[in-house]
Amino acid sequence: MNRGMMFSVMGVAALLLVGCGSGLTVVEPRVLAPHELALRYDNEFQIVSPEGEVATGIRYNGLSDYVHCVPDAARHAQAAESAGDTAVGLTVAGIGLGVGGLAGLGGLAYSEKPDVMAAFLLSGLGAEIVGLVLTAVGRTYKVDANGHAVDALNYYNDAVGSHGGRCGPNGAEMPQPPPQALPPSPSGPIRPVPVDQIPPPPPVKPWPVQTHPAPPDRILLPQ
Amino acid sequence: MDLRSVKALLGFSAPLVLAVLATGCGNYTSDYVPPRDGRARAVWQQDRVIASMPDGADAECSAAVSEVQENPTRYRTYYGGSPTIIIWRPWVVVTGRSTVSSSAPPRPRSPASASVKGGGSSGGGSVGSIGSGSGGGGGGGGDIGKAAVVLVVVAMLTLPFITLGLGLGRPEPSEQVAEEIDKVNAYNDLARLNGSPCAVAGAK
Repeated sequence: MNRGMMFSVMGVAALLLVGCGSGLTVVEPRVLAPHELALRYDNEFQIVSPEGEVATGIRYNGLSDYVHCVPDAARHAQAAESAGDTAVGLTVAGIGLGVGGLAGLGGLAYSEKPDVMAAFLLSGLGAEIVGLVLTAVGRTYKVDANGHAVDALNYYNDAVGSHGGRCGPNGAEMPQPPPQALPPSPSGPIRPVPVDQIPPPPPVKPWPVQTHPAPPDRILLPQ
Repeated sequence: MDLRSVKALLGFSAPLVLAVLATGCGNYTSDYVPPRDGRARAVWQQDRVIASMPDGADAECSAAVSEVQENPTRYRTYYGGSPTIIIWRPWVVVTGRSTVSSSAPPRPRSPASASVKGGGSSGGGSVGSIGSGSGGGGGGGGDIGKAAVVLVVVAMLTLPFITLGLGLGRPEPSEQVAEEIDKVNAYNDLARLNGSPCAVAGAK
């Protein structure tokens, strides 16, 4: 019975290990606006743009920098990065405790001292359970990180990315509208104008003739 | 092991139950509502991504999207696409170095359905519970003590596998997520390629 129970629990563990299977997107997004974000999946979420990969799960480093000009997107991107970091920390700590708890099996060597054996076994079991709890909580943070990242992508594309814009250092940079069409130029070659068709200059007005004597050059003041 | 140890063992089961519950509860709930602009989106729901497709996608378009998923490059190039990335602009389409500009009028868009299809329930792991015996003497031996030791050893041997499974496994259903993302990317590409069944009327 004990053996059967052990196998059943190990079976559950194996299902947890391989039950999610493997996933890979086969359709590469090809028609994108210059800075539009798209989602891919290769056993992890990948956020890409025509310029290349922007961020990958589970930490999504760099996503908040890329979408910082859209408040909703920035909020979700920061939450995704934070949740991703937390998930990684909890998972590493949980796995460490979970596997390290196996050392408690060393208590079986003290079968003649039940108290010592119990202390070893219960300590190891406690460490494994704490590790399991941490890992389980870390798993929920993974879900949070992925969800926030997808939301950040959608908010960014709706506001900027799908319209051809991007987040610049000073905020959103939207593309300029296409230039207005100039009025059509007159057709035909440009011909020189004949000289005789130039209008004559206006008549010169004669300078007025002086009729009064000119004033003296010097004025001698009486001494 | 004495009776106290057995009780302590049972006390350890409480966080174990919490851990199992934590894997299935508290999933992120998205507040994002896709606008109705005729573009497909990958929307988060519970623990996975699902495709939110516009209402304007008819049967022919759906078939084309499925065909793109089966043979991505060949089918897309048939509609004037390219194995490389095409920079798409709302008013001009640029393919590689040769610029083929065509002023496109504003594209009439059909509204997207706010409802999303698919979904499912998240799975959680189940862990064997530790039984308890009633009564028992205060000594260090006996059948209850031996059974408790066996239970502890079995639990200690199996818990690391469960922990590894939770830690290294992916919380999302990978195959379904990949399919949904493919559907969204295929539709958005085809909607921007002139002549494809998914091209929105007026798109150049």
